[in-house]
Amino acid sequence: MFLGRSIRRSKWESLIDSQPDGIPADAVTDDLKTQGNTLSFWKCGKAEISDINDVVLAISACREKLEKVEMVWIDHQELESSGQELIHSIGVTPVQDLVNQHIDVCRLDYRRLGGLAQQIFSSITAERYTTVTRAGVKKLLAAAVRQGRLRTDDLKERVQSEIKGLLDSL
Amino acid sequence: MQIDAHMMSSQTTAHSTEVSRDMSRQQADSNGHLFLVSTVSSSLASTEAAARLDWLTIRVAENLYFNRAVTDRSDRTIFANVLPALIDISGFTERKAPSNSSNRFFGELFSSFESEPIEDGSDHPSELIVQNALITERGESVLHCLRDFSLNESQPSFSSSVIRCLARFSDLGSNSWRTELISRALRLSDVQIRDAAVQAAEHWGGESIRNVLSQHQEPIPWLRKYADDVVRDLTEY
Repeated sequence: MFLGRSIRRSKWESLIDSQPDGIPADAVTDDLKTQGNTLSFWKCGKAEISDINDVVLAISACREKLEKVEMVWIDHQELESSGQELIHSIGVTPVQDLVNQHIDVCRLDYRRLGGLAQQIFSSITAERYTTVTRAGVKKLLAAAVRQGRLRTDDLKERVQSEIKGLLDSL
Repeated sequence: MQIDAHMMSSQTTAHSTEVSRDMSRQQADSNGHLFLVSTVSSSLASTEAAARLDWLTIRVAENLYFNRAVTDRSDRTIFANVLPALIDISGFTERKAPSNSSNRFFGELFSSFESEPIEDGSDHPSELIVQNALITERGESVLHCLRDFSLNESQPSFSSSVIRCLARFSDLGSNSWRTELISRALRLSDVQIRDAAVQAAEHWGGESIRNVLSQHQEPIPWLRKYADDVVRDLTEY
């Protein structure tokens, strides 16, 4: 199984060419911002398109603005075998069938956070990441509403109005 | 500084002329306006009006050299006040020096990104800072500052954050202003800035922006794919 998380791909880019093993500090401080020494991930199955779309849906459905989602997925087994502590937790998303697909990597310290950053970096170099455009996110949200997985009222106001616009035009 | 300026303008004409030319030369490297004044003054040196023009030149030089920093007046205003009848300034291009307000604007934006990186999908304090600037300052100056901030390759993290923030304003500037900003940002070497430019293109949309994006030769594969996807989206909608 893989675990997915939103990142900003360009933050991880700057040192790849000049220092193949160098993870840019901005990538760690901006993309791996912990809360309570914990980092949030979503279960991503075998990282097939439907799995990835579900993670994108879970993330985008609770956002204040409709914007692209860039995500990376890392191997669950590798994470556990490297000594990371994982616990299931309730995900913050209005998509009810995805609420239980959330995992926290917890008790992170300096060394463990570094290990996690290294795993994300390895996933990026292995091309285990994707970008879903703003329009793509909009379509995913609209499809979830049509399938009854999500209510438009559960979306933030500005996202709601854009999804309603798309649904009305169909 | 104001006292020094007054003392200089009360010197003899000959001495004043020398001062004005020296000051003109000092300013000429960074400011085309003063260079023009100096040229006009020299060309009329043998006429009676030249003395008057030399005196006016001194005034302009003083204003540009001293008062601009103190009063934050624009070059256009200074020229208009001192030389209303002698020079038609309608064709001048105003190149505003970094003023206190633009430094303050820069500082506010910089702090906001430093204390909290801008994240996709989340509101950010920088939006309010830009919104307030657009309301309280001259719109043209704000856009000028924002374009400079966005294309500052020496601070790519800041510049890309500014572009991401601006992308959230659907009607910022004119369509040509937005298109030019994206076009110039895409030509920069920093990938964060180009990535932000593609995202802004995605938000702003429109035919001219789509054309700029479709003509862009992106060297980095993942960003090229994102740009291609955005072009496809903009063609579809």
